[in-house]
Amino acid sequence: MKDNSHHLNALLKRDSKEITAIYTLNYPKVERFIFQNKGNKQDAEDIFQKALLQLAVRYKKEKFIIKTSFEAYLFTVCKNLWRRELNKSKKKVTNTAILELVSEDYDDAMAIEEQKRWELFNESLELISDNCKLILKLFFAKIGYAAIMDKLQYNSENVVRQRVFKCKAKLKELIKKDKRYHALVEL
Amino acid sequence: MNLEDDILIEKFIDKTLSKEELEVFHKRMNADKDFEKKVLLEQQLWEVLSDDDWSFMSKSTETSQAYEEIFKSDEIKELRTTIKDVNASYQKSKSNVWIKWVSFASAAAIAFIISLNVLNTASPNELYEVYSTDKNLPSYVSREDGNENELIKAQLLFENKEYEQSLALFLNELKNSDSPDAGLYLYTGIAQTELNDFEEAEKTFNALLKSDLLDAQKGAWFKALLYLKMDEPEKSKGVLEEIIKQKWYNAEKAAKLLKEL
Repeated sequence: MKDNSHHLNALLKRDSKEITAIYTLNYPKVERFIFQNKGNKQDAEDIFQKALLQLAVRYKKEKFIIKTSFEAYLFTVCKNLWRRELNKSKKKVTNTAILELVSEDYDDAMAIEEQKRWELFNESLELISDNCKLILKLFFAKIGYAAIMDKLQYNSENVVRQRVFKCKAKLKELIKKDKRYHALVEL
Repeated sequence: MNLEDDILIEKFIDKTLSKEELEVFHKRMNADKDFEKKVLLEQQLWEVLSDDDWSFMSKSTETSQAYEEIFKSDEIKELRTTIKDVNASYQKSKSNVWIKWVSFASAAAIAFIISLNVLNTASPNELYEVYSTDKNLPSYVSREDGNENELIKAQLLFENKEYEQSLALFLNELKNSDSPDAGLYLYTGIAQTELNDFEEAEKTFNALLKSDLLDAQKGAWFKALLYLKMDEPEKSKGVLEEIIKQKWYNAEKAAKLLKEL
């Protein structure tokens, strides 16, 4: 596995030269993604800065290891932060009072925990059988039981439902067994 | 968990429980902490694994409180400033590249026009009609910002070839937007082209080209089409040459069009 700690150390050292190199290599892809997903230039700049800060704060606290390339990981964090922003506006409609009271630091801290939950669930999904993974990906993509039955050639919708149930149970068992899950339980 | 509960929770998440069923469901959640935990995990699974959703934390954790303290520290405040500074100089250097290109492209286009001695064999206006049919413009229909109604209305008017009304709306959006996207410039410039408001159309496409937007280069293609409509094939050729050279948006089409001019 490639050691990506030098990028994280560069952030903590506030190494402008290295941070500029991170921008040059990664920012255009992130900007393109945000433009394609209802965002503008200001959104892209904000998300990229938030992502870098998120990595620095998390590394400062727990020296975590990036299991993919730094570039792929940073892109995932940016994508998730943008997904979070888009959903925040939906949430705001129903929960304005609560969201307006929280500080930026509090919100950024929560975003790290949510990113960790996202990693735990997605890594657990990778651990189940290929068939289970496929059926759950279709299920969570909101493909109906009938369509899954046709696509994967099951005999009945009931068989699909049973299979989804078993695969979900397996996934939940893996998630609950992981020590990260207990650390993520809300106070 | 049994299948029956699984179906029940699924209905709760899908919001398909009846009012009475929902009442019973909430009562059970309040009385049975294990059941509540199951519902919460199922909800989180949906939020994390569906592409269009996000799983928010509703309460802090010990770790999130520790992160919050780090965010508040002087060290991270200083890092925030450093990142902001790097961002500002990076964005500035990016936009300088565009300004340099626009100056270069203008000079190259003028040199190209002067050096050419061409006999036109095709009607530029005819070519405009052919090449302007496939515009491939972004859609505002799914936007979620506050201007969505105006932008959708403008886009629909544009698609119905009601260019005057459409232009009025797009110009208004362009004027009032702090960070207009490339689509706004394109719709505006094309509507101006269609209305034979050539000088303004040229200004609009130049503004897009000078911007640091990712799709700024699209302005070159529509500027080339504008020159066709203006019956200025030499100017159009200059822009097309540059599109091909820089491998910009529609470079292949530009090569084809250039041959036909």
